[in-house]
Amino acid sequence: MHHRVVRIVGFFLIILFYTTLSACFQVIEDVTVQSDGSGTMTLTANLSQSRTKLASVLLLDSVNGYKVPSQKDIQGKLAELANTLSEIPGISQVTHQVNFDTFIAVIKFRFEKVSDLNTVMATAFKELKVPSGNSNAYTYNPQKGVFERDYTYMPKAKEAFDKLKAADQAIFENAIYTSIYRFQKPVRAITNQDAKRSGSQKAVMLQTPIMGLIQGTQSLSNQIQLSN
Amino acid sequence: MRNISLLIFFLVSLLQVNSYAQDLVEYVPEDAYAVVSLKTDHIFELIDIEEFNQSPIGAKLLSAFESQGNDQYRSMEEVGIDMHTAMYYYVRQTDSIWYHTILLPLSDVQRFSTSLKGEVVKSDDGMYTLKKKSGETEVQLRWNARVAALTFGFLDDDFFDSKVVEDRYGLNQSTADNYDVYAPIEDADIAPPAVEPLVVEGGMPVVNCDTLASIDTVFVDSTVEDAYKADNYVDEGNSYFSQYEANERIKDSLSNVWITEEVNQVLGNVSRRSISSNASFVKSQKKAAIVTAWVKDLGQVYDQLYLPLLLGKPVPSPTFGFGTLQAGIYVDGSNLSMKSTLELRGEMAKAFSRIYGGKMNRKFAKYLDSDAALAFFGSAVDMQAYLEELPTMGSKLYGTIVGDYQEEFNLGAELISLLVDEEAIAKTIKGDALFVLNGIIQQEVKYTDYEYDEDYNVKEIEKTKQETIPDFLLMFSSDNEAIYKRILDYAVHKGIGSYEDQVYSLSVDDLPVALYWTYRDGIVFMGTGQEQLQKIARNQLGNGASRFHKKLLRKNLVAGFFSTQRAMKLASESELEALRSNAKIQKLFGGVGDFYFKSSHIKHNQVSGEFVANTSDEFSNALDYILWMVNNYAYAGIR
Repeated sequence: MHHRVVRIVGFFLIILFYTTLSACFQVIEDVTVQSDGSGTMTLTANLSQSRTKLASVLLLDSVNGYKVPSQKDIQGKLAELANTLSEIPGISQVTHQVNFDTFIAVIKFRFEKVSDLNTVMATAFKELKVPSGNSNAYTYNPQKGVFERDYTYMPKAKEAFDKLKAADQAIFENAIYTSIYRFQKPVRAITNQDAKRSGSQKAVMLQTPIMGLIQGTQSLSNQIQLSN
Repeated sequence: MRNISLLIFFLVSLLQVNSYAQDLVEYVPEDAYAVVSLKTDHIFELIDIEEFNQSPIGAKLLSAFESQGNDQYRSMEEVGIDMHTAMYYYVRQTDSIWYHTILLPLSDVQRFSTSLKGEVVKSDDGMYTLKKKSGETEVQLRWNARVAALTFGFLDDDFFDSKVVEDRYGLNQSTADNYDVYAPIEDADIAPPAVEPLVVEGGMPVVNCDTLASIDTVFVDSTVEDAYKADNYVDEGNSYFSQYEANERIKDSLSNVWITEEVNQVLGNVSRRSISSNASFVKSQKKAAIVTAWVKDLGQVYDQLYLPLLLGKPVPSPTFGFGTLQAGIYVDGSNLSMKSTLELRGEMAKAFSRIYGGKMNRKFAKYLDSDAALAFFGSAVDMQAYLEELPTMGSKLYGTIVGDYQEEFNLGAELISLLVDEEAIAKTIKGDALFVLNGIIQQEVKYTDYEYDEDYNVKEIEKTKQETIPDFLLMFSSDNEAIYKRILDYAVHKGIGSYEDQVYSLSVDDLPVALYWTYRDGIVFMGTGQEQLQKIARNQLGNGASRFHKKLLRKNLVAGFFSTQRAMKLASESELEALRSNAKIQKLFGGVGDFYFKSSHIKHNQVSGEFVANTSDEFSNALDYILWMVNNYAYAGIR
């Protein structure tokens, strides 16, 4: 009885939620870089604004023609990803957590040098079966004190997006990508006009609508020159 | 005076006989399995034939005919088809083939004969014939001055799974069915390989590995495609592919011969008893209907078509006790309705009669607010009868499906029946329920966002936003309210629920919304609208059900209602407006009124159902509206 009621409610909720455009999520990339090039990265996916919708989706086996993974599947996939990352040379202290109440997933790790992040990204993209673009997205030159984030626009992303149903495309409409890079020394110059420097000048934040990245109208690329 | 009355009666009877004789039903054989009739005479009383001819559907139909001059046909009459006499489609089944025949009434045989694409043959008896290929099988059209019969057929493959039948028709299916027999294909250039089995003493012969390799080589060299194309492939009877092809050719020619025989019989001189001698069929031919359908034995469709497809094997004995199905589509002003009657047979009839012998709780109507409800669905099952009949029905329905385990299945069903206290369950859930969808309600939901200090340190903060959730109410009768109270009290005690103002609120982890429960008047209520549940608990009821809704619930075992206009209004007021397809929905259903369906008690082993759609009042009738809708949107495309 309980299960049937749950399904009925889930079904009605889906009908309504899949037609609303308020769905929203944010991804936060928070990187702290020490002077020697080692550091920590925290990746957060926050789907909390769509939690009612996601909770309803999880009640069903499939929605809009897609199979819905179970909580166990999602946890397993994330654990698998964390495990794969921890096997990358230079990557250590990998932790991960997913909260099905708030719908926030976090993965955090230490890296020995900034270029390790490129391997991490390539591995993560491969695990998620998403084609990766630039294999040299993160570079850091300790001598010159230059941290560079290079973003290459992938037309494939737009192609894939265009193929999505209108209801699925709507999910991306208000989605935000936030990147925060923190350093020990103050930042002297940045090249991305949309990025902002913190009060202490030791951190740079860039908030980009994900639609802009998909459409290729916005970029994550930034060259950060640190003070000597 | 008496004589005049008799004369009038005689004349009227004569007219009736005459009008009946005009009807093509006389051409439908008595042993037809299913018959659909399109009452074109009645249809064109409701819609203007000129309008139909000029509509995209009319144009599409006319394009199937070839005009002799340069001008396209402008009307079905020009093609020689009588649009004021009913058309029929029927299915006739033999042990080997399913025949499908369409009967078209003709008004002008000359026009009809010249409007067809293809070679028309006229025989001495005044019959015309046209044969067309559709895939490998033939479609045959045969007509006289009054009627055209279009016949095609599909063979029943099971028929050919018999040695006697194989021998009779020269089929060789043993090779064709055995995919492993990939014997070499002989060709002038390719010598057959010498396959010499090695005989192992006391054991099965085995094939030498090298020899196997040579078979593969030969097979690959000749390729499957070449084997198909080879002129002399029929002679190479031992190849799977050619044998399969040969069998198919035999079957196709058999099918063509049988179809010719069938179509000849339809219009032949030998009189066949017509379906009009079948009382059940005659009863199904309601005068007011625009379309009628009659199926001799629906259970047979289920047993012979559906179940074998599902199970991959024939079913040995009838499962469902379904009998004849009668259905009709009617237009009554702006109402379009479909009425159907299904006959129930044997034990199933008794079981269904008991199960659906209950009634919906009359008090449900008090809690249904007809002024606000978007939709509702109610049904009444006698839970005790259901539980008692379950073992018998289960073994009947599933026993044949589980086949070899039927004995175990029946034993299991009886054991369960011993353990289950039917009466106690039926006291707790009596079996009648009403689900009401009231619309949507706003709900405040919390979510996590971030705040950044001036050094971009992230701090999680809680925000709230408004979301819409469906507002529904489910009610069902129970004589054992105490058990619900105990369960809900337990939930409160365990911290997953709360109790306030006689309403329980239950928040289950995997459910995104809270469910509210209360009980009153021997009814258990569950819904998403807290306020509504509180009002029910306090006995502060709304307007209640309208007279029509009350009647719908009281007189039927299953009843449902949907208000299109209320749904439309809700759609434009809520976030649904943003939905792109909403515009299409508004266009298509903007003129549609309410829908309802109902099914009453089983009488004389027959269960009846009715579905009614109320269409726009702006049109002269429902059919006129449908023609407009199809013309404007289905063919023109919705933009």
